[in-house]
Amino acid sequence: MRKRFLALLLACSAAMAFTSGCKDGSAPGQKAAQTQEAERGSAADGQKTSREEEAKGNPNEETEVVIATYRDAVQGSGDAFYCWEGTYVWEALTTNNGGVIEPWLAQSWEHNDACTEWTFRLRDDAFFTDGIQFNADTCLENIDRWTHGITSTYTSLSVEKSFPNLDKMEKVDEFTVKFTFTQPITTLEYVLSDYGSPMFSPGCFDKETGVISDYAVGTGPYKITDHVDGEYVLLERNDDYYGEKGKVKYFRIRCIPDAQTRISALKAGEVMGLADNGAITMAGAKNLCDTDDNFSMDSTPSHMTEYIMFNCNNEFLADRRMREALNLATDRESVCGVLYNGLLEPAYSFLSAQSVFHLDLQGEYDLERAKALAREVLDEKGADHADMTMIIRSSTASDYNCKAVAEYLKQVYQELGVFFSIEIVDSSIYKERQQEGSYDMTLTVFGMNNGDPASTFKQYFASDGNSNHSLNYNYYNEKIDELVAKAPALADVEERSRIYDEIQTVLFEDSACIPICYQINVNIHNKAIEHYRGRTFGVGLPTISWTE
Amino acid sequence: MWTLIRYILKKMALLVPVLVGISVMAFALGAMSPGDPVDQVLNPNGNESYTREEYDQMSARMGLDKPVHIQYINWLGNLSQGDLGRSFFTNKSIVEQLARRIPISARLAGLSMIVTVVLGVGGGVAMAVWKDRFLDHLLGACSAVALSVPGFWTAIVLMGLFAEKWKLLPTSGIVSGTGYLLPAVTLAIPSTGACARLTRNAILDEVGRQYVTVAVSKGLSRRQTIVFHALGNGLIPVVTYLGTHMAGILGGASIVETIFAVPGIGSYAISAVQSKDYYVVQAYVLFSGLVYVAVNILLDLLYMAINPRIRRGEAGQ
Repeated sequence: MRKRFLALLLACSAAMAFTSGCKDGSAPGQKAAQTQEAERGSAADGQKTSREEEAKGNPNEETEVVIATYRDAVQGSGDAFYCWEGTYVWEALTTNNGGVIEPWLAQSWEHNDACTEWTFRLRDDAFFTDGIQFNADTCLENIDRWTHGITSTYTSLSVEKSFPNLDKMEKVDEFTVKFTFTQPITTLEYVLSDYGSPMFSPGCFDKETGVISDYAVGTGPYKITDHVDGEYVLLERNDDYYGEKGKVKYFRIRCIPDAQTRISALKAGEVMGLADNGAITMAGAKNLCDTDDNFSMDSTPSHMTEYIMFNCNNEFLADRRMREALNLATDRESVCGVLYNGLLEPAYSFLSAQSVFHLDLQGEYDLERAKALAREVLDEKGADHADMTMIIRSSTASDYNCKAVAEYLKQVYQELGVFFSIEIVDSSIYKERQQEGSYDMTLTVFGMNNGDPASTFKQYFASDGNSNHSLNYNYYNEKIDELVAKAPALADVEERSRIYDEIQTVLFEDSACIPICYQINVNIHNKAIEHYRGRTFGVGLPTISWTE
Repeated sequence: MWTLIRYILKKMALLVPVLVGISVMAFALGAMSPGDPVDQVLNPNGNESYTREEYDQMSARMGLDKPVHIQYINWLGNLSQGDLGRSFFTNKSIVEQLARRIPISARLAGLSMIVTVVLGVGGGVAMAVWKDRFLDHLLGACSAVALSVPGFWTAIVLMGLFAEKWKLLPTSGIVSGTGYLLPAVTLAIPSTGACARLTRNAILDEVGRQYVTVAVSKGLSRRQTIVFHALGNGLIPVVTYLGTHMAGILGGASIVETIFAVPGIGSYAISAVQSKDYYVVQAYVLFSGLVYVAVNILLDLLYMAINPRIRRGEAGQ
């Protein structure tokens, strides 16, 4: 019996040893990748692993560049966008380049005076990587795909959102499409930018369901050649791309969820750069660059801004003077200089400096006036001090330096008689707390939904704004309501811009919220690669090359 | 043989209420957890608005507009057909995800188990054989350290040494087979410490018994007595510990999988909990519950194999 037992134990051990040594061979193409990884050896010679060991010559043609992100760059078939825009696989009709809307797959556009008819002239030289030409038919087929209600982890995609009040869409000629609306839409080019109008080859998605069946096929400068869910995506340059072609032929974007592991992978030479918001904190990047000459940091302005948003149902915060007091007591210069290593710019306007409609407002830091204003409010209410709760989403706290900012503000606001507790809660609880209204302030970071701020202003500050209600900001200002209602109907950009300036001024004077600083994207990379520049979504893959 | 089959059937019959309990718990935990999955789907980045009508449509599409007990019955119905639904958040089939991730977690668990058995049981035997000698004290100290060091710290140290400094192993990912080594060792270190101490004490308990005295009086050396007599009889608590340890890792070593970017069950559960992906959370709770049940049955069978008294006792019943 004992022998039998020992034999059983040995057999189990052998079986486990066997399974442990096995690789996961389920994913298509993974074996090749595994071979490459094995060839990479122990990463002793850094990251320059040849795809073909014998091949010599231009490293850009033969050696893949590995970049790490905290989430999988490819969400897969179930997702409306299939992959992140930063993979450079798909393109949209227009793009938002630092607040300026530029042509992309649409070369030009025009609309009638009433803004109810929009005509887009499409590129005639763009081909999907499966060989199908991008034209009016494929464009309309794509828009039809958005009616199937496919959800996404990035942002929602629907005809109602991209083409509000659409009456009909039609093909004018091979490369021209026309959209007719029942209500005027003055900013369609903004709404359609980037995630507003992704275009995929009709050959890669099911016409009935809109679901992408295998790999997504776009017109972009790169195409997907392999993807292992939750691990990596392999991109290959599209040599038939109509525009400037990528310099490096192969990119591998690895998913490494843990921040410390991403930095270790960078130090170990397994990855050449980190991408995506929050891939590395500013302090972490600066520290790494200061201590290791192999790395270089590049920062690009982001469309994200750090704010304190109020729940105006709080009896103290409902009073403009108290909000103004908190605003005056917020020393943005110190926050940016000390807590963000001098890398960020102080924010006073609601709209980010990356928005073409940004109004350059300048506020002041005046603690004495802030104390006087706060005292006025507290005295009127017969209170010695005000107790409040500030909530912060845990992901925001880890991606940005929000916890330190909150701690700093806690100390400063105490001097005004405002005592708040900081609660860092996970995403679902954060939303629940906001929807219940069980908070007084929130320190948060967000950007605009699209290049046109009309919907963002309405959403957050109009009395019938969805988020204003559902997230319990409960802000009310008659003037804002009036301006927000007026803006969307204005076809003239100059006139609309004036309205946006006015809205920003009113929000600033009313201290509707406290913009603290305009965020940046921190891009850190190994000096073995160059031209590693941040973009609105990720880093600009096409410009990256191995350093000669 | 018939006795064994009857024993297994009896255990299986007892499983039914356990499984029902697990399914209710799995469903209830998902349904009761905070957050609104409909809102999560409609507003993935927390920065979008939607109308009441859109909310109701999505709620109906996700089947969340029905009373909870109807949702549970529907869930059970789908479950009986092997359908655990789709992730609310990523829209991916949960069964497919589990099928891909379970083998990964199983390999990790297997490798960790091998390290634990070899070092833990081996170390425990060595400590028992050389009781109160230098080796016993040294291994005792090592096992105390192994037990008390937190997993995430071990992970950082191992990664720093083997990946960053010596560049012998990858920091993360499992594209190459070597990617399993660091997470497996990280998982094995505390369990090795516990296993070594457990083995030592179990063996020393047996050493004081009569049959060992008889064996020694017959001329067997201390080492032979321990390895061939005491070890087998003292294995029951060790096997119990190893079984639950294995079940724990199989059910998902969430932190270690996340740190080392291992796309197993644990990291899947973590991301599901974060995004309030409640069908995935339900599937995960169900799976980990089943793993514990299966491991407990296996342990019962192993007890029978190891210890004749249990075998005879069950047969007698």
